[in-house]
Amino acid sequence: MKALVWHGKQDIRYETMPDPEIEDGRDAIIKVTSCAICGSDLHLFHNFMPGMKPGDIVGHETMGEVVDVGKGNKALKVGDRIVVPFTIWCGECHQCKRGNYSVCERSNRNAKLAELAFGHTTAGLFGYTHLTGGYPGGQAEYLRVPMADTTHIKVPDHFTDEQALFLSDILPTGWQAAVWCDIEPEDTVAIWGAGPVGQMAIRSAVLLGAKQVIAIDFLPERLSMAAAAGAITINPGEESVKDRLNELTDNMGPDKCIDAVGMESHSQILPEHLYDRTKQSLMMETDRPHVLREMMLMCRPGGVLAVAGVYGGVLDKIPFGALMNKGLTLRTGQTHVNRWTDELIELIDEGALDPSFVITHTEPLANGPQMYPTFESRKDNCIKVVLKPGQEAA
Amino acid sequence: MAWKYGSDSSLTGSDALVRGIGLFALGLGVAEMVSPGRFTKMFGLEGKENLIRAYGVREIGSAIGTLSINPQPALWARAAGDMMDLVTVALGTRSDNQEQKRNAWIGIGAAAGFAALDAFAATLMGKRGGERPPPADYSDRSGLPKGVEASRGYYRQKREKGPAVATHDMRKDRMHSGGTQADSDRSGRAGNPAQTETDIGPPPIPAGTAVS
Repeated sequence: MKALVWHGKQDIRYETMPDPEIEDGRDAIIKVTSCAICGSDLHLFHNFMPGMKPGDIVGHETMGEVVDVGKGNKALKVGDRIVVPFTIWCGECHQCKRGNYSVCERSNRNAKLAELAFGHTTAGLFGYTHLTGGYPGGQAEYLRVPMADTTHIKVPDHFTDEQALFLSDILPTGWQAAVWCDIEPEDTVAIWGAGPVGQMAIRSAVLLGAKQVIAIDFLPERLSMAAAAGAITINPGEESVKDRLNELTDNMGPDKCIDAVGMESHSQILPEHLYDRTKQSLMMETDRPHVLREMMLMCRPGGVLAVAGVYGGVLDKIPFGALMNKGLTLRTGQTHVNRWTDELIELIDEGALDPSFVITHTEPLANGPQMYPTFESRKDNCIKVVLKPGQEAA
Repeated sequence: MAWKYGSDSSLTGSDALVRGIGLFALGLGVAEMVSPGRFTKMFGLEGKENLIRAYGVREIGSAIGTLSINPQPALWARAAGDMMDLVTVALGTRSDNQEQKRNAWIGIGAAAGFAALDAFAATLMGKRGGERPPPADYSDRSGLPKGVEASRGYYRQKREKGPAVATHDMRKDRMHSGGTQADSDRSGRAGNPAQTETDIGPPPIPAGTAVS
């Protein structure tokens, strides 16, 4: 089969790889019909996440048709159309029984590595470093889904791929971040980052009833998409985030803040940005936490900070005093995908939400190596890329 | 140099060129810091060892930038640094030593060549990922088909009217009783927002969502 394969920093190749096979009774193999490049794939592209090996197939936003099923898997049958959650979950461990699927205790086959990095293992993930199991990813023609009897989302027949695909990651990620905020009707919710996850968080905050939603990003095209959902926009390149947030909240600060940026944030304050860039280059910190710092300083006392953006390691100069003394609540985590599936499918089915709005580029899988730098550089007004394995390259 | 659609790798010839420049700059910077006397002797710049060491620091800094994920600023900085090198090496053309004078002229040519190469690489990096057109207007992409105001609080109001989907416990019971998974399979074995298995059957309201 053909797949997108990681070979090093900024080196993703379209290559022939062995077809996946059933390895366990709970497995399923899908023929991929659509997959997407996620913002967190860029952390791999930039080689900021440890634990990648040349030859790893990338991708964790995937859907397709079941073409083979393990003998122990009674939940799926050949022909089923499924979205694959990016977190692999067993359904039987302590965490899965509590709905904490992204920290499943059994699905990471490299649990010892994860324990070294994080203290405890987290769930196995598709196409996302050997710290999370080293499972081949879904930017491929075929994908083996381990623990597929639980790790799947059956798609209603009348949903298009474009409506369903983002149930795999960015939609529940944005939704969980908004849910974590405990949104109340009088709340102002500020969202840093208007990339795909930020866009989903904006719609989620609106659906959950926030009175005012504010989107912060440097890119005008992203801000126009944010404004389409009623968000007030701030471009840090053109105005002070602090001044504008204070102006919009009577100097109180936003009640709830969402970080939809993560480890590669850019500061509009040049010395801060150079400080983080230098420390990162010298491997003295792994992540650039500008957004976290700004949220802690901007959020209204007693507020909630929800972190949806991915962080990988060690951060520097965090104003923890502000977090503590202002009594802020910090909620984090990879999204527990399946925990949110039913209500999200319901919202799509009722016509209250159409996640396909975020797609700006649809390309054959073979063009994946070129779409990574396009997505990375945000050129060509690229916000979200969907790849189609079944299409011929131009 | 530039990539073309359909090629098999995201790593292009221009990326390889930039990495080569970065590694060369790293090596040159270390050499300038470790043994500046070799450079001053070669180009007739005796007494300027500390200046060469400072150039070495500059080279290493530019190398780090050149090897980063956004090398363009460092490449332009390198091109400017090459011009500083050129001016410095040009001082050697006044040397009485013919070999040093010849080396200085070679150094001038090399510095000019590197400046051109760095500027060329910086230009290539500017084109990476395609052209940047004017910002697109995505203001017709709300993703909220009912409209923004009709959508505000839609989910909250829906939940207040009662559960419309199977609760976590309902799904769990179905799973463990071996019943059909036709419905629950959409979300696997569970799916109640932010509730644990110990929660007892309330409507699936996300954690902390206030119901006033």
